[in-house]
Amino acid sequence: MTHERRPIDVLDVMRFAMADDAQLSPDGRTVAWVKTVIVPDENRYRSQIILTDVGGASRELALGTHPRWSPDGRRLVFLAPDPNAKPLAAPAAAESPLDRMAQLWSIDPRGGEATQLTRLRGGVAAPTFSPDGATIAFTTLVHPDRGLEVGDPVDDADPYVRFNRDVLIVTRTRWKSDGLGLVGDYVRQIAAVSAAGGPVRLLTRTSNDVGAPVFSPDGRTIAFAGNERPRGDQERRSAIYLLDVVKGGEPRALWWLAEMRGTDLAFSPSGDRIAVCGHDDAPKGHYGFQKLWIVDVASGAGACVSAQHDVSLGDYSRNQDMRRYGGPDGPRWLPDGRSLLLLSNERGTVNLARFDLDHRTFTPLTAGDHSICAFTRAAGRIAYVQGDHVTPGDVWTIPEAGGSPERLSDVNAAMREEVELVWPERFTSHGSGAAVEGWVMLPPRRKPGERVPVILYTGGGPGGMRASVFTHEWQLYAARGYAVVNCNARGNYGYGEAFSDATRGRWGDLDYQDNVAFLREVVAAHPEIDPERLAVAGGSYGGFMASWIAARHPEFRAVVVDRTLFNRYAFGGTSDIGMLLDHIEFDGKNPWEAPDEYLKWSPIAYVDGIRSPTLVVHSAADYRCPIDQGEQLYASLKVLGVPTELVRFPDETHELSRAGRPWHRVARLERYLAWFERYL
Amino acid sequence: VTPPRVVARDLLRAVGVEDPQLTPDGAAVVWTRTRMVAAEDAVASEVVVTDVASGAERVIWRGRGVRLVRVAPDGASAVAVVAGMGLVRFDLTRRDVDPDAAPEMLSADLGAIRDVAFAPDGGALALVVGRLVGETRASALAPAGVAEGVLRTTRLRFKRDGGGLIGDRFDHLLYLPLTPGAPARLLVAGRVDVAGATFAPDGGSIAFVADLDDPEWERARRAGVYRIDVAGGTPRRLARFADVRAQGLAFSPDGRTLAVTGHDADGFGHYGAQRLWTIDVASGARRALTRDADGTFGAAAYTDTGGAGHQGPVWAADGGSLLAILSAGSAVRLVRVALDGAITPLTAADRVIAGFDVDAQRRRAVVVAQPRDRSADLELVDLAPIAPRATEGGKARAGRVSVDPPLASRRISDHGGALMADAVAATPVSVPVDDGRGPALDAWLLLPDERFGARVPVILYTGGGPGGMRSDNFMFEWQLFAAHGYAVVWTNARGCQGYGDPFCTAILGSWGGDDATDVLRALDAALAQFPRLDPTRQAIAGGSYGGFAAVWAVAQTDRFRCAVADRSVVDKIAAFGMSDIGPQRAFEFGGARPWEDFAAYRAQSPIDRLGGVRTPTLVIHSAEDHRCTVGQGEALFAGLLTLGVETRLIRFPNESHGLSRGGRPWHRVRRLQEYLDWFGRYLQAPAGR
Repeated sequence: MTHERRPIDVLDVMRFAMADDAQLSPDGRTVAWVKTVIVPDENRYRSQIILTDVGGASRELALGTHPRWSPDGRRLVFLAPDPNAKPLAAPAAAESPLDRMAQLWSIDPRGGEATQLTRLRGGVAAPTFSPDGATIAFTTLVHPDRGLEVGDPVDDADPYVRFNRDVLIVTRTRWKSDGLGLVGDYVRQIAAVSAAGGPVRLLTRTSNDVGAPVFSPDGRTIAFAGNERPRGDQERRSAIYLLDVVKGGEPRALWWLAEMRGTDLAFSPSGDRIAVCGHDDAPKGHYGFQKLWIVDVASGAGACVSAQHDVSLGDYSRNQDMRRYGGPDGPRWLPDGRSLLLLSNERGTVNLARFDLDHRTFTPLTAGDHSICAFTRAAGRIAYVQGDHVTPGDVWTIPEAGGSPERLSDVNAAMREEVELVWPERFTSHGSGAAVEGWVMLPPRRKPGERVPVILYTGGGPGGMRASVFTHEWQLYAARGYAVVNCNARGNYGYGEAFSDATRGRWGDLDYQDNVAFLREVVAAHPEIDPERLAVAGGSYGGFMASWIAARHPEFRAVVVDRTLFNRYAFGGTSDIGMLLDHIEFDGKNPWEAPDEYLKWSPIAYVDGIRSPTLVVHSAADYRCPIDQGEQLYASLKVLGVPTELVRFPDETHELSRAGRPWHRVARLERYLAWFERYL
Repeated sequence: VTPPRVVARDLLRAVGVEDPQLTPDGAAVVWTRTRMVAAEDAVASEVVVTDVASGAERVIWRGRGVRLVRVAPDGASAVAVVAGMGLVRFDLTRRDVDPDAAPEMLSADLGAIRDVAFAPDGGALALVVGRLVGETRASALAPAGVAEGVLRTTRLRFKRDGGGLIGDRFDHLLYLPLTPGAPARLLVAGRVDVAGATFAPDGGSIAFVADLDDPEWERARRAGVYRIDVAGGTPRRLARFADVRAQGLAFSPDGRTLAVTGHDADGFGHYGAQRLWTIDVASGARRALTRDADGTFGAAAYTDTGGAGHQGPVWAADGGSLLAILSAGSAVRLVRVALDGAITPLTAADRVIAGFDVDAQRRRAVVVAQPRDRSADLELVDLAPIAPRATEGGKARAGRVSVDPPLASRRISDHGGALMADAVAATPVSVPVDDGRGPALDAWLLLPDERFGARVPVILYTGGGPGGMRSDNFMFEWQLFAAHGYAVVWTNARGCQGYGDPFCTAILGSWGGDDATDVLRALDAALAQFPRLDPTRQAIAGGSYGGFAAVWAVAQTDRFRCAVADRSVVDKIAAFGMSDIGPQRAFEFGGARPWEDFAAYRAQSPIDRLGGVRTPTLVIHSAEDHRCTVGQGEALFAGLLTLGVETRLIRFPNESHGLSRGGRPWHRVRRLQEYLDWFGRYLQAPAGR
């Protein structure tokens, strides 16, 4: 290091670039990926598709996301807004995603103008080319009574209709979705359009949402995940459905799994098998590990092939705040039909591995203290997105046969030179009956002998993993003189399924003990940390944990509870995943069937134990942990006379800290810092 | 099929007659008329001056969002608050006013004005203004305009149904001289709310309602009556009550006595009858003029169209009695209350009085009157014939409500008939409920006309509150149902005001007990007395607490073919921390907060017994309902879906708890249509579906 780097600051949250969705061209020579930057003046994100030749130059293509190559590599489709979308005089509800959905575009990767292929009110997601390149299938939101709504919406002449467009009429369970918004009775369906453009055809008319479409290699079948049983949208289980593209007709359920990653389906090269990740241990729900299953298309017989490996597959790295959307992270077949590429979660890292079906063995392709969140393969090569504690994410490539990874992008090179970043220390505690692994970040600019306050940051989930990812927020706190501590308490992936499952239905038991023991042992082992100046902060389940800890440990001087769960008795009926979560946590019982259990495991039951000043942060359009939860905590603290403040963000979702409007993210960080500064 | 003579969109013909005031000389009434603008989904308002002698009216201003019109003591002008403008002044003397011209601006930037009162000499105003206290910006770094929507609050009552998310805004008392150039004076500020500012007759001081002595006042319901010198200084508390109506302060003509509406029954909250009190301003000694058995002061009866106004009390010119609106039994009348507590009704029981004002000499009153067969109009009541009754020395306390014939009244507006146009309104009939299973109840039945045949389905409509009441005044919603062939039954179950504290407090801490029994008793009585009601086609519907009652009922009985739960509360634990008045309601659970006694809260929560519901239930809720928050309706809907019960959620954005009365016009029409569609689906089918 030849020059002095400056401390990272709040506004730097807008200066990091994000790399997502590395898509290798069919010839394996070029990666299409998405670079997202923040435009502070416009208070928004700007995503650009970049083409980078392996070992060569980069060039910018259109603005958009989700690039997908045609099989011949001569076209690229992607998603972008409709520039000509006409707002109606009376808009749909602000919380409705309709009227502002992304559309499908097509462009020649060598350059030129992009062509808009769709104008669908229900938008486009998960585009995929048919093997012959003639068709692009995708999902779109469709109202059962209205069918595909194409082109400009027309204002109704009748004011009764016009002025009631914003009224939401709902008859189904999954009518709201955090991030997407209030979809009401719109159901996600599969549709297709010719690569040359033209009318859109609706391929499914299911009662419930379907997953991403996947073509069989012969192009005659589309597979997707769904559940068409009566009241199937109240169930967690899914089936692989097959739709005959040539003959049409109703989709046929091939094979069921209690927990299925609906984005994962992958046909084997010959089309005789489908790979998917999930598990069939229904009571375990999101605590169960995602294993690899191979399903025989002809017979519908499926089997788990990775059962003997106690690892979860797919990207479960959590807590990053500089990733836009990742990209595909499911299994991909190798051409031999006998092995697949997978992401494997272990001890806070996510790495690429090859799984051999004959020997049922994993062979690591990458190794290191980092997290890979998405990958694609073609022509003997893999492209992927990788980040770590000090790197938000970049595009990498590696030969399928193994070899040295090659970095294709360095989107934050300038920032890395400019600001000081801390690589955290790994630490393991043992005082809670389990080895609990986590990280300690110490402020980089401590004066000799200085003792610093510490923030225990409790993680979200459960059903994910604290990992080697870049978290601007924590770097910021470290730069401001706070030690930041977080761990993979029980309930997290990466340490075996039993470790993950240990907190099912018992949030606040072993996971709580793990967090407290971890902090205690970190403090004991670090004389730089002042044991008198403790704070605890967390979001979502981490907010739950922060308030749970605060209620039992008045010694914490400051508490931040963000997007929390507080009253689980009221949670089930208001969260977008409420009942689906509850039925795992409470043995299939509804709130009114086990009220004592729901309340016993709710912070509201212990809120009168909180003495520490507590900042409550919540987003108004958070449909995962609805604003009701944060407001109930705030009101309870006010009634109890505990110093508190509520910060309520309008028009933001559960994802505010990672994907909210840039200036709202700035405001959120300012409020955290002010709280810590005031009380620590 | 008989085409209905009234349809949901007829609601758009509704005209509101709001907030009438007599000029001091009694020669004119200044009032606000509201009309719905269908093409723009908006409500237009006009400031109208009606000449009492000729009945001629002139519109002096028209636009949108005018409120708090207050006539100056000299009658020559009026001030008002106009949305998007601020405080304005209208000239009442000029005959040639252009109603479309911009009014004279008095002040644009005082804040959110919540109350306005003239000083007796007309030279100043007392304003209650919502003002931000402390640093509430969420971001010091963000440029203007990008983070202002973030709410940062440290107050408990940071939201108000209808008023939205007010954050750290508090209602302060401001003294505003109307002399040009004279600065406004902030009399009461800080982290307190004041309400009901009222000048003493000498103009030297202002009385108001607040709680300045308890730092934790936001958690409590108690309130005090204070007086502060207009020059400033420290407010002096005159008296403290368990509950005070903010708009119920009035100084006697000599300024020595302050009349107050409230009660002092700790723990009764909104279940306690509002009584009239006098406070000796010098000593603070207070005296109750009326008893809970007399009824509750203020207009407690609900309706969905019409208008309202000031509810008193006001003093007689000689200071010997008070005029006020009293809700007693099922009647809501303008009454005179002598200082010994004797009560003389001044208006008839066949109409509900929702507001009134008097001239300086108290020779006449203008009232907002809601009859049975049409929506409200303004009526003039000549007060002269009634002399204040001689005091009775505090004796003969029983039966103090006089049975003297009411005074004659004269209608001076004619909008009440617009809603029904050429259709004939159905007339409610009284249904005696005296079955020995509880106290006798007032109940009513609205029957569809004979075109609908010998057997009609019946809707039991459960009322809101508790702590309100129903009468037999006009309600468009029920007329609409009747016009579609449904009979409607409603009652004043226990928990309603107007029958004394024991009747109202019978359900305090036990929602779903006597009240649930009573509503079914009323329905049973109607079914027994009116064979035209088809017992195989019953429905139950209600809003707010009435929504609670509907869900509670269908959780225990399958007698109803369908139910409507509108803006309901189903989970009292969540409501404690979510409702704008939730934390003040611990008294309904023995004083316990939820975490101290979950069982008490669950015992009054329909969600706790949802597993018993099999009745198809329509769920209606407004997204900005801060009273019964939308999560209540959403949790109910989710629970019903989980149980496999037929249901449908109608979620209105940008509407408050007041959607059915004050929502956007087309949303209101849509709501009514959803009710009709639901009833049509389940009640029109023949028996044995």
